[in-house]
Amino acid sequence: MQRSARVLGVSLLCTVVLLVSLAPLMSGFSGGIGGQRVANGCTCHGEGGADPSVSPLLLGVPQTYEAGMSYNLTVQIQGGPVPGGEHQGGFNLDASDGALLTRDDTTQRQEGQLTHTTAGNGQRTWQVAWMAPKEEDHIVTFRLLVNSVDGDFAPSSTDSWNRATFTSRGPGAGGIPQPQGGTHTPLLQRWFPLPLVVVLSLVLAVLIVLLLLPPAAVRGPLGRFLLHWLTTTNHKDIGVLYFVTSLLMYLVGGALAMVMRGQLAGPSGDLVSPQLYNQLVTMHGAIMALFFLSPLGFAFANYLVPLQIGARDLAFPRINALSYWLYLLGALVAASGFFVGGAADVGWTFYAPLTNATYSPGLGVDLAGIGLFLLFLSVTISTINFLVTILRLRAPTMGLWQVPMFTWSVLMTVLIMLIIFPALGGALLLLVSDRHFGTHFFDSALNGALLWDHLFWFFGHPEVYVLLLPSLGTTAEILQAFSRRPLYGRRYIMGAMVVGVVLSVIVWGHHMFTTGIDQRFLEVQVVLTESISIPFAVIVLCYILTLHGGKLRLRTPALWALGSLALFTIGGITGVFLASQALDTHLRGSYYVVAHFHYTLVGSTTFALIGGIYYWFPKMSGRMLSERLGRWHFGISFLSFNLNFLPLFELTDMPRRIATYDVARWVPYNQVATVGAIIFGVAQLLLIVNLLQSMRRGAPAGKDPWRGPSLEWTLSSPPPHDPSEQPPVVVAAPATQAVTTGSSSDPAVGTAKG
Amino acid sequence: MDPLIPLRLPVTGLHGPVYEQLFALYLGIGIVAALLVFSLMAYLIHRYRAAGPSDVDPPDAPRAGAAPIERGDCRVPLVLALLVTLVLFSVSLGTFDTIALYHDEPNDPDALRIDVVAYRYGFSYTYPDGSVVVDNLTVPVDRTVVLKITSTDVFHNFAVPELRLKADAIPGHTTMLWFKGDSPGTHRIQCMELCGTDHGAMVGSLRILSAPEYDQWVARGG
Repeated sequence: MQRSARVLGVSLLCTVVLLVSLAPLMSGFSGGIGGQRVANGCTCHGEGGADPSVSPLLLGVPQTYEAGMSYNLTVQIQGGPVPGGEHQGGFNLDASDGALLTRDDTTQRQEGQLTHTTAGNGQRTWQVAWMAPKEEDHIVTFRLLVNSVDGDFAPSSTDSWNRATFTSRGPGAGGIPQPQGGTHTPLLQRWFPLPLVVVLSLVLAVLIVLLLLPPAAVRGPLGRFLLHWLTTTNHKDIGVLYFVTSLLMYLVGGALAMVMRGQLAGPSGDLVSPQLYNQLVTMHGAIMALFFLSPLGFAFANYLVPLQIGARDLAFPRINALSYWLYLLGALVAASGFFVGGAADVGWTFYAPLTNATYSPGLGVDLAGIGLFLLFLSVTISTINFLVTILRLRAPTMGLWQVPMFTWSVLMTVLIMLIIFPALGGALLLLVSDRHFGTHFFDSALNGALLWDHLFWFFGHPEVYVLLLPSLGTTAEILQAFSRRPLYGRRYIMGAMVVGVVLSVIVWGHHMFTTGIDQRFLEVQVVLTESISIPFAVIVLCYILTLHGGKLRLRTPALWALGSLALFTIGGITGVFLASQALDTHLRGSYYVVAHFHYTLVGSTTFALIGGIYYWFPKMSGRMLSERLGRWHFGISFLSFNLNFLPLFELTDMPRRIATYDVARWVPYNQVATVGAIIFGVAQLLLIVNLLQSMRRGAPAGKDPWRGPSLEWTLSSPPPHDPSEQPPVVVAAPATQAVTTGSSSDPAVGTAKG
Repeated sequence: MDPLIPLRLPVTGLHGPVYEQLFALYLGIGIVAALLVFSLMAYLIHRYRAAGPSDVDPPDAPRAGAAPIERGDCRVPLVLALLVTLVLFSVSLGTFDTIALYHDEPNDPDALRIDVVAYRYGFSYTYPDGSVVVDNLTVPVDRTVVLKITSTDVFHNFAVPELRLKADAIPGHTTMLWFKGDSPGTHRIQCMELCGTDHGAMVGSLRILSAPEYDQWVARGG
């Protein structure tokens, strides 16, 4: 039974990997499976080969263009069936550079090409315009396809077509033609590149050998080690896997950020090309938000939620393991773009139509999309797992309102995930369908660009609360342990989190303040977005009031938690500016926004989770971290973080995601930011050093080094690996007693109330 | 550093000063709020810090495995929520006036109406007489200018930071932006939405000319 389940699991995994590696192949079909653009450039008429009696003409193309000039061009059809029918022809024109523009309603743009409209369907000439590129050294190729038809509305032998190309050279163009963007590459070149196939096959081979062999046949320390970590379904092991993977992602994402800040240290940085810079921007965002922050929160959630509520494991341990492996695979697939001709370079927001097959023909967008889709699968099953665990597996006497704050914050997080990730999954499927099967969900002509905005931000905005909430839960645990007092207004904080969850899914419109959509919708969004500050302000203030009457011990975790609250205050207040549509009209897309969300996502979220590492690592490893290194790590990080991001608030006119700039005013701010970023980046190595050093020779932690508030501190450090050695009766007993007697007879409760 | 480089972004036009006023209101209240929070935090940290490792815990100190203790007056969080709400809604009153200024298209028969088309990587401007120029937008001073902005390829953004103006340029969709220059000068126009490799170089300029200079410019054929 067990064995057949294992075979099933392995085959499922193989199928997923195979499907993933096959997906890019689909773009090998010209125009996708739907055959959107057949060989003659039009889906409505004409079969058979090109007809030489039809001459496509493009008049007005300059032999040598003047950079940035606009030219009026005339498209003309000569020859073919005798004119006289109602519909005499159509055309399709694209230019490899510059921009094609319409001049009247007989022509329109579709997917970067110019074609006739219904109004221009019965003509043999059309007037269009072309804006030459700003560069002087380009060679521009025009490709014109024309249909000359008899107008009987049916494909017939008298309908014919032909094509022609025209070129225009810049004054500085050499003799070598430029490679053209946007054209279809041959099938074989599109094949999933070899290196990745080799790596994936090796991984798969190891997996299959290990998993299909009977466990007794695996010998040697390495084999045992691999078998253990590849097959484990223990929540503590999975927690450790998430922990290690997310820390690696932190280093990778951070390294990308270092390169970006290095590039921006001077106005015309030449560390990387603009193209690579766009890839760095995209992958830095995706990795840090989706593959580092959220998984680090879930590393703690995996390890601690069952311990905190007195459960033996998560409700579905196998699903938990699958969730981790899908996440890892997703991260690897998304990042693999760097090795196969370029990762996604469209920003982590994936705005349509930049992501379609015309503007992003490369593999990067496909790989990032597939990576995110795998993450969507991982998150979805994980959500169910945590919901069931927290709602059904609590110790018998632990009411829902009595769960520790971290567990509560995880419950809130998975509730948001349950609502928003389907929007991401759906949007990604539609995007893949557009890119490869010729559908038109995000077609600009059908207002598809705005459809993507709505779908993406319905996911994307609440996602920041998905990142934030576990870190707020962590802060609550740390504050209680180190201030030596119960949380101030605990139930109100829990309630405020519920309000935050509800509001978070209805404020996405503030990302669309400048899109010119219905103003009434946007004004509602202004009010809602301002309102979301209320529950979070209450949470922060209650956290601070918790210190009142306590005996605060400023150990490393407490420093990070308090630092996180201070930075969250700045992040929150600067966010209120962005909630005002009027202020957003100037601030949107600028470095002000970059500074704001780094204060919330790094300053608040990452700081709190790093505090969580200092707080819970002794529980997970049984060894203390160095207090001295931890303090240095905090001090340097806090100062350099502010040095990095405080100056950026002033750059309200510098656009995000640009690789070079030519404005003198931006230089000093960027230089300060780069210095701050490099110090911050290097300081993070202190954490790695501290972790490695502690594992080798850290002081033993004992059961409860911080005298923490929740159930995990009643267990040994590290807790017994096998849940069966962790008898729930013993674990739950203190909670049981306290819960049943604590409500009124505990003297501490009486004095604390009121 | 060259002392001639301004460290603050210059501000001009009809919207600029209004925007700056609103920004100053937000900034003032924001700084006061932040200082209050920081002082409260600093005071509590200073006042309630343990004297040493052996300092005695408060009686209700958390114990591992004990049920959480409810603490605090229920009125405090509610009052806090009310306070935050009041502050937010008082600033948002100012916001709505400014939003109206940005978004209500002026009913000015004398307005100069220009169609803006963003493309990779530039902007083209079509004047009422049909003439087309690229990259550099030229308008007369003290006259209402209404821009209808769209894109021919991908999502772009048309921004004139010194006039505090910005609107997305979305293919298949038109956005409106209006302004009035209050003094002659040249201002940077920049795309502020990632649109491809040369996004950073998608820069143009807004030239505001005095009325006679503008007429000359028109007479020369743009």
